Amino acid sequence: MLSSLHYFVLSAILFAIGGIGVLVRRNVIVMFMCVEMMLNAVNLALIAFSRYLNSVDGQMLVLLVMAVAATEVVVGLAILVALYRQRPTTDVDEMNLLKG
Amino acid sequence: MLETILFACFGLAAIAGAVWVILGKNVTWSALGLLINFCSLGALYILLNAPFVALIQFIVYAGAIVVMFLFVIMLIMVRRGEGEDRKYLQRYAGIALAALLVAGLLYFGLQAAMPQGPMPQGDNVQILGVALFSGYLLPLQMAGVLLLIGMIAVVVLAKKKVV
Amino acid sequence: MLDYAWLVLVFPLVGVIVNAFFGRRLGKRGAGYLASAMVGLSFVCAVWMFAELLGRPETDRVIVRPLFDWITVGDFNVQAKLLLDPLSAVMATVVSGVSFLIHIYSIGYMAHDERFVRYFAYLNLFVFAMLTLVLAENLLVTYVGWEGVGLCSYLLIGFWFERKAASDAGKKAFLVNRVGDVGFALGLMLLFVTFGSLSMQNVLEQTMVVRLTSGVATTIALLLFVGAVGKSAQIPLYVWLPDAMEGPTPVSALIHAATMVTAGVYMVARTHALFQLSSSALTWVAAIGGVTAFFAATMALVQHDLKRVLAYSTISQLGYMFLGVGVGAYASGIFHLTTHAFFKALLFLGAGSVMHALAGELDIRKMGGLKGKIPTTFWTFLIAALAIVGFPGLAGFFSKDEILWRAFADGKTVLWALALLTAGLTAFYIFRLVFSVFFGESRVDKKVAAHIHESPKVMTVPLIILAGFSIIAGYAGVPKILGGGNWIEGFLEGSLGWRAPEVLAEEAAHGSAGTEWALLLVSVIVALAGIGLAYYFYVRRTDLPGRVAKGLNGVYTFVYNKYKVDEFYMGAIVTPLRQLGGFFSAKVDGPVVDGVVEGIAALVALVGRGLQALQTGLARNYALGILAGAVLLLVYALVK
Repeated sequence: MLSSLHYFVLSAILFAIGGIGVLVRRNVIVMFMCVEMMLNAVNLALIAFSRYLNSVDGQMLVLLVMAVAATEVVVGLAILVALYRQRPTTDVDEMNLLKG
Repeated sequence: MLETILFACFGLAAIAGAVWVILGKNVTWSALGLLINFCSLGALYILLNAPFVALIQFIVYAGAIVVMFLFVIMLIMVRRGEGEDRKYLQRYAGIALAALLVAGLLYFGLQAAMPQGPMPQGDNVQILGVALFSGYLLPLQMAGVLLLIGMIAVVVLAKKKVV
Repeated sequence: MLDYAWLVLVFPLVGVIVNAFFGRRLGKRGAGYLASAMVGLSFVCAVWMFAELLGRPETDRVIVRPLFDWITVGDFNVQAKLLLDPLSAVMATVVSGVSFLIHIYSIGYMAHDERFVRYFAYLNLFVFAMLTLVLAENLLVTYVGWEGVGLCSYLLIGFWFERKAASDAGKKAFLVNRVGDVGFALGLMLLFVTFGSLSMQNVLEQTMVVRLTSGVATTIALLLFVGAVGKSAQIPLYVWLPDAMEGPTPVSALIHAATMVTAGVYMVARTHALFQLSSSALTWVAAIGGVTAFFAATMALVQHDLKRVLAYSTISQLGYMFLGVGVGAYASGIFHLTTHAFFKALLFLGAGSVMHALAGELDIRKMGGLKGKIPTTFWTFLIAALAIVGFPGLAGFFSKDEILWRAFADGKTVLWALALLTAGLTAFYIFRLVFSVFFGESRVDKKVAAHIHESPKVMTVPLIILAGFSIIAGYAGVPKILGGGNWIEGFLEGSLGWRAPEVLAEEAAHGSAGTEWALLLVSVIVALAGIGLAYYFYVRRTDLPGRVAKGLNGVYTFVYNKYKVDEFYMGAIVTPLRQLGGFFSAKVDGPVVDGVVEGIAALVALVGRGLQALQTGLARNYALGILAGAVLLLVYALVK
């Protein structure tokens, strides 16, 4: 029988994979995609609990998270484009002006 | 039974997509992996009796966000892949941490009593609609404002500076 | 006026503030006139006050006017009040009057100085401080004035601070005064501990009631006297006064002849109740006064610098004053203070006038024959000289003889003899000056001789006025045997009359009128002898001084070098202290203190550098940090 535990585990694994992606990859766009993945993993967990607890709050939260995530992606990509114009690289290691 | 099989399929697909994202040799393949991930998750949502959310997932995430990623990829035209990454500490520490995270969450999950229950009945869309416009009205409006701000921000940020 | 007595203090203060801030705009003339006018107004108020006091009955002449509450801390209460009684009236009048004349003189003397305005600001400040000292009811307020005059003395001695000698002299004056001030402060503390108050009224009331052990009284009195020794340049703290002649001559006249140096005498007179309780303290005062008088006179015999001779003369005359108060003749001491203010100021101002005529020449070996060329200066100087030696009829005669008589009457014959001898020496060295500077052949440098001219009216009028006072001031204290009523002693009884009961019995007149007459004649003869001897040495046979000096070569050089006292102080006190300071600076301040401070700074830098490694600028590292934190929280929550 499926319980929320299974979904929870899946969500955890997806979150971890996303985390690894953020830490390991150097391409900014891929990093960003991984961040989106992490958000989605959390969404999954929320929906699962919403279903198993018979409450609508989970889904509401997910809707709001999606709205925020959409905005965030949009703005983030705009920033990326602006950054790229400054320095034509997508390697995040080269954006180290904060060093020191 | 069917539910379990479907869960297994889409779950594996999601994980595969995720792995593809982080292991993709070039960015476009990562984008594809992302798409697979999102779609699998959407299917899982349907499985979890959240059709409306699943629909939004497909439209917004798979439809808009992935497309935007592709746009940006095309704009930026990344050709070469990443060079050699010599920051070993970063990589291995990162992986170790993630593993630790999963372990911790698993431990928590196994320990705690995870909810179990039958599929809820009722029209999902109607329930969501009512809740959205009664209890969750403020967050709804704020989300609207947020989207507006986002739009303006993007226009300002991405404009080419007229020299 | 008695209710407005504070005006006496306010006028000079206004002068200081206006001159200090707006002096430049007033210009030289404006600043000079303003400063003098302020002091003049003070003088008017002081005289008015004096007159009012005279109008009151004898028993009602001690008036206290409160100003404000100064310090209230627990048991320690200090209220700033003005004490207006005969003694302070006399002092205030003398101080403001002589200051006024010297201000006017300074307008002429300092006319070419570019820091003219600042000079007058300092002078006004000095007058303010001195008047505070004299009019204060509470000894702590007196101390404020005491310190204030010390400060002004430093500022004015070192007025031409571009000259090393002047700035050194200023420092020396201040530091030596400080040594005395420590004694004074200790005395004040002991006074407070004993009486619980520093108010003269309180203390006086209590001395009438409380039976003090003579030990305590002696200690307090002696400590206060230490302060007087410093301020009034007695042995052993006199060394600053000759050096103080580096300052402008009006300053020497005002501060180091007429007013500041007399603060010590005033203080002893003011606190005479304490001294009366301890006969040993009084003996010390008299002894130091007498010895200093003699000692300084010997040094004045051989100096060539015009002002230095006068400086030693001041020290010597101050010794006379202390001798006077030391034998219980407080009124005589104050009387001599008053007359001395007039003729000593006159002597100094006259010296200034001579220097003005000779373009700054100070060496009497390069003067001579000036009497025809600068007549006003000559005649006023001569009057002052006669006054100081006690020539019958002039001011010094009455005051000095009173002191000598009282010393003899008190049984202190040794001191009397010493003082008499000093009188002879005084006559000799003063007329040595007179004859060397004004009589005989001119030894003036040719270039300078061409420009000899009398000083302007602004300078000579004060001289004339002071000369007048030098003549008539003595008549305030004509002793009974000569037919007068010794008016001033009677007037000052109101302030200086406190006697411990057991002493009162002894105060009955010692000695007869006959002895007094005899002593009077003796001192006149000694004075005339001194003048005659000086005439012989410096007019008739001008080769004699040189031959005597060669004959007594060793002694002469020793005295000329001021008995090497300055060198002794330098070697015994100053140099060891400097070395100690140097040691501490090099071995303690450097390695230890600086080491600690710099060590802390280095430590901070080290930590900073360590933390710098965390700021790589790479977003991935920061993300790692975030995730690590999250995991840690999770683990922590799970473990709990």
